[in-house]
Amino acid sequence: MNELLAAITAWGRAVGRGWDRFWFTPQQPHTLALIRICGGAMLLYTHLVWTLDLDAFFGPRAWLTADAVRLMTQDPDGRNYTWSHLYWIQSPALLWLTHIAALIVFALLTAGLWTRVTSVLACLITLSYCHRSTGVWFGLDQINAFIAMYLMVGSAGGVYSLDRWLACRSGAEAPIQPRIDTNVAVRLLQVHLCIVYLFGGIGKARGLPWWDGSAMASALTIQEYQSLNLLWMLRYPALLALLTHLTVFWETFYCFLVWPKLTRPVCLLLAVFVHGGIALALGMKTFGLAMLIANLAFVYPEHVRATITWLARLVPHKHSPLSSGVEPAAGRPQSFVAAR
Amino acid sequence: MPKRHAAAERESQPNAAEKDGALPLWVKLLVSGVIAFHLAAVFLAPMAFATEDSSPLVNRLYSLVRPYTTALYLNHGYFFFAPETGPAHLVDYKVEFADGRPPVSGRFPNLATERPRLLYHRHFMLSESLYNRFEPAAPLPEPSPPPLTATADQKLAWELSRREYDRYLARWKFRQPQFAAMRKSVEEHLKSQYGGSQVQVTLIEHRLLTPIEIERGERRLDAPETFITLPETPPAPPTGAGR
Repeated sequence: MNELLAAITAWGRAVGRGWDRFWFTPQQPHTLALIRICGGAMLLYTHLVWTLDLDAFFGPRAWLTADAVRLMTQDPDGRNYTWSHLYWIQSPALLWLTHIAALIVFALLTAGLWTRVTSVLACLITLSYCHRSTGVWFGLDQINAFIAMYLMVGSAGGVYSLDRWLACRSGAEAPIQPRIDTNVAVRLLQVHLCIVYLFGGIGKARGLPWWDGSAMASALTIQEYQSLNLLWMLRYPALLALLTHLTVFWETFYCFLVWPKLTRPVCLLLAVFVHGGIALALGMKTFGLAMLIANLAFVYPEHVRATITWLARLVPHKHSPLSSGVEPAAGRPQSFVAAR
Repeated sequence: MPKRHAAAERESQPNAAEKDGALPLWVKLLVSGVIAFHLAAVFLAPMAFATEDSSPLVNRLYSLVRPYTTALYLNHGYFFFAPETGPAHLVDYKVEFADGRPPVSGRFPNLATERPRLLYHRHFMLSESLYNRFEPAAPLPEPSPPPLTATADQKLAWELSRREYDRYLARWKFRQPQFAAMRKSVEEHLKSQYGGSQVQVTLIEHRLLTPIEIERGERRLDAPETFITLPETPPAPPTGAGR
């Protein structure tokens, strides 16, 4: 009995140590910073597109008015937990003013200026637009929202940012620190992404076309999605069935296969193929890209740093922020890109 | 040591405090609690979607985190292109004018006028939402009670269908005003856009070609006969609560 108790205690301690290591090991900011740049640019683009028809989607005579959206988002018990500053804006001038302010916030986040503040603002603005755009949102908005949410948790501006560059210029350069909050942000993003894929896989496994191998063929024939004519592929039903089955198994087991170092590269490579395919063939470049940006969470910071340092060497300007880490001029501040 | 290398050295090593676990235990416990709650909420949202309100356990647990998931926009099923890659849905509209001008007809989404692709996709999602949230103006009639001479099995069958109908009716009462508000809003938008006096909105289903049709190559994806006007009444009897 004592042995059993000891074994259970040892197991409990091992779980505790594993949890502690998983969540509370400091992490370098390079991965999160790259996600900030790509995710911030995606947020900027997504909201920039709203600009083209702002009044039609958020104005007082929008396709779906604020009152209609409030009713649509109500729970069966009559409560409504959605919120948005856009529910309250009736004046077109104020709508444009707040929208332009939102675009500036996204641009600042992408550039990494005042990142601690802009990341929080970007998250609030993103959620606010998402709630108000009920009835017209899709997967892109879901991914955008959780990327924005986790960017504000960690030190997203710790590197590759104007914050860092300005600190370097002012001589207040501090070493790039691995941080616990950065690790928590990346871990949350990783686990959230696993849940997304798990239910994506479970959802597909409930549909016959994903079992008889015809789902991919059907998707190619939806004209409203089609951005690349791949109907010639219908001549190869076995190939389409293979892609169909591969998608289901990859999505369902992503949450297991992405963690071991052995299978992670394969898992991420499949993500590039699947989301690249969606982006190119099914007319959803933004959604495909957003999913790939979220997948960056599984790229190690040292790999991000090595890649960006290599890219920085290709930049010809000696004193540009990207190349200054390669050949720093005497007396010049260190790169804000990479410290080695 | 050159400055660059010194910086690299500093960077590669976590500072002593963090290495030794600078966070006090109570902070770690607190953060762990928040993380566990958040991830439970992230998991329960698609779980509730997948179980379609049928699991008493998931319903109960999800009701605890529903305000949190809704407020943080985490209340999604993530069923992308699932369970089936069905047909697309569009909206046809006709705007009429009080001053005798000829009516204007149109359809959305429309790739020719809605650019870039993301803007087109917003219109596409609007037409899909109108379809997904459709509820007829009047509910289906309730099932007739069994005759007095009915057997016990027939009475039981009626009891079951009656319960199912009650669930359907509750769902209809909840969803119909939402659809009506949505439709009215779309109509008002079109009226204001064109300056019209009357708007008629029709839901269209663009059916997929069958493999045989594609194999024969006799019909294009956009053949007019593949666009079907959807009836304003539900085609099938109620099947109970579902999404």
